[in-house]
Formats: sequence, structure tokens, C-alpha cells
Amino acid sequence: MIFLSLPILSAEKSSSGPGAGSSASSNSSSPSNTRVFIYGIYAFHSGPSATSLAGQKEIGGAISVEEKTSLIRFFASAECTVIASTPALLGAATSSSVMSSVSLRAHGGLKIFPFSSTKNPFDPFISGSASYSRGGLRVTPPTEEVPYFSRPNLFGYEVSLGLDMKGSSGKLLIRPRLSYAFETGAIGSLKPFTLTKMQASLGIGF
Amino acid sequence: MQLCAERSSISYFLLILAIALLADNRQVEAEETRTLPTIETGAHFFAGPTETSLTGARAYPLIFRAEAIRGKFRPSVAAEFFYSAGTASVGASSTSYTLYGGSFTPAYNIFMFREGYFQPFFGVGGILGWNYLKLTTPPASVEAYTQGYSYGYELSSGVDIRFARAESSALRLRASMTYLVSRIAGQSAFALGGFRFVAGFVY
Repeated sequence: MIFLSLPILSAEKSSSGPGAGSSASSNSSSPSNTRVFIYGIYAFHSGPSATSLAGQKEIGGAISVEEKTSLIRFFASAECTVIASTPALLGAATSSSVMSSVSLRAHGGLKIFPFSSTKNPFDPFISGSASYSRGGLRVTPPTEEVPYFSRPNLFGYEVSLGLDMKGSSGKLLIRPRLSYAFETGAIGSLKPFTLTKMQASLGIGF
Repeated sequence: MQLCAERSSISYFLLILAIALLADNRQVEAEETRTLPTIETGAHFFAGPTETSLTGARAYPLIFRAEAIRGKFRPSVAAEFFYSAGTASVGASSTSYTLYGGSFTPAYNIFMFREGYFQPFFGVGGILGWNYLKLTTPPASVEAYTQGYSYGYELSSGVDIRFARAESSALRLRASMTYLVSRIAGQSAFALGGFRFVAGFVY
């Protein structure tokens, strides 16, 4: 799903761009209407201690493709985050287990830029997206509810605010961003298991 | 309770009004709105009920704003990030806390004089944001790590001290009163509003 979403978006944007209606070969030579962003991510988890990863910190990176200029810009992104070995109280356990996780996440959504212009040095935005993540979670020792290794599927949403800071040429952008993310699903027999996190990220766009 | 409900209604109204005005502004203007970038920082002094606010503590915001370049009524949008740490009263207990947050603030600034070295203004805007609160020793029935959306409004006044007569770089001084509530620390309306003083640079 992650790897499919990017080519799909790129194809849609190409067909609506300046070369719409022409052949695939002529599309490839027309100027791109999309921009690529690469993010570094740092997230803080919150929520109920037994059925979430409250207090955990997550780091990762993401790559995102979005439209270049318009009031509303569609985007899709793929994200990979990890939580290194940290103690966690999961389910009804009375002592902490050590947990590690890797998550692959796909997002699709839209951003709203109230002052959409290539000439403005600052472009604040707000965005919303739906997300799907597939994770790998290892818990040592396993608890009654959570096995040693599980692969949860989680669905949720994310809202973000941030701004694009443009250089004089306008080709390179720096994007600080703050997101509120919510995902829910099941881990082992813990259901619902919710991930609520505040995510700070810094991106570079070109 | 009634006062809280009235303020919530005002917050929704101003937030929707600010967004509507921005949308309207984009429809009226055939060409793209040119904006000036502004960076502001300063101190936010929390105020509110003792048991459901961070009253007495301070936050330090960093505000990035894009504001229409000219006109008497200038729409603006800000992306704000802030940090605060100190001692909070939650319910009957007191505990140290760390708060991170951000907000998206569509606003309108009204400039009486469009030329001159001193350009005072009055601003009104809505606030939509989210916050993450960590309590070191939370009281019973309150989670240590909570986060929630926040919404409210801001009334501000300030002055641009310009380095030339019009449309030039300026030093901006701004004081504002904010009303902001969030669902954090187990409270349905945790107050994050207060008084703030910020200084910035318009370039």
C-alpha cells in the first residue's frame, strides 16, 4: 500500500498538469507539478498507560509527494518509525516489559495553504490525512495479552500544522511541522489499542 | 460554567469568521495575495482557575506569520510552536509539568495608518491547536501523558516600527489576550489562555 500510493499520486498529477491529454512521453518532459519532501520525525506518545504506548518516544523518517501550488494540495506519504528498547506496562501486567517496535505507515490527505503563492517567503498550512500502519512489536517478557512478537494493523488519522520557509530561489523549502496523530487497532488480545502522539518533524522539500 | 460556554461559542464564532474572511479574501482578489513574513517570540503568561489551568506559569512561543503586504485590513495566518515547563495545579494536587504545543491562527489585523514609521494595529483571530502535557506525578485518575486539541481566540494590539515610510522591514511589538481551552490532564476545559507579549521582525 505504501509503495503503491506514491506512483498513483504522481500519475494523477502528471495527467492534470500542463501536459494533460498528451502522450506519456510528452508528459515526462513537461514541468512537474509535484514536490517531494523528506522528513525527520520525533514523536511523543500519550494515552492510557495499559492500552497505549504513553510516555514512549518514537523517531523516524518520511517521504512525501504533494502538489506544488494551489490553495488545497493533495499529498501522499510513506513513513518508517522505530521505538528502541524501552520499558512499558502493557495490559494488566504489573511489571514493565521491554518493548521495541518498527512501523511502516502510509498517509493520504490534503493540505490547505491560505496564502498559496510561489512568491511568499512563509506559507503556513494546516492538513489532515488518513493513515494505515503495519508494525512489528517485540515485547520481552511477553505479557498475558501481548505475545513476544506481534504485527498490528492500525488505522487512524493525523492533523498537522506548519509552514513552508522558502529560499530566494523558491526551489528549496524547509518545513517545520507539528502533528496530532491517532491510530487504533489491536495488539495481541489488547483491543482497542490506541496510539495517540504529538509528532514534531522537520522536512526539506525540493 | 455559563461563562465557559459563552467563551466557547465566541471561540467557534471567531475561528469560523477568520477562516471565512480568509476564504473570501482569496475569492475577491483575482491575483495571489502577497505576504510579508514575520517571526515573533516572547512570553505567554498563563491565567485561569487554579485547579484547571497553568496559572502563574509561562510559555515561550515561536510564531511564524504570513501577513498581507498592504491594505487597512490585512489577513494573516500564523503557525505557532511553544514550550512550557513548571509547576501545575491539577485538581487538588500540585506537580511539575512539561507542555509542548502548536497552533494555527488565522487572523485579521487592522492598520489605521498605512504609511509612517509607527503603524499601530489591532488584531483579532481564531486559534486551533494541539498540546502535549507530561505530568511528573499526576494525581489519581489522571494520566501522566495526555494530549488534546485546543481552540480559542486572540485579541491583540501592537505597533510596527518601520525602518522606512511604507512596506519596509519593521520591528513589531505586540501584546495580546488569548482565550484557549484544551482537553488535557483529565479536564474537559483546561485553560491555556492568558496574556502574552511578543516582539518580532517583519521583513
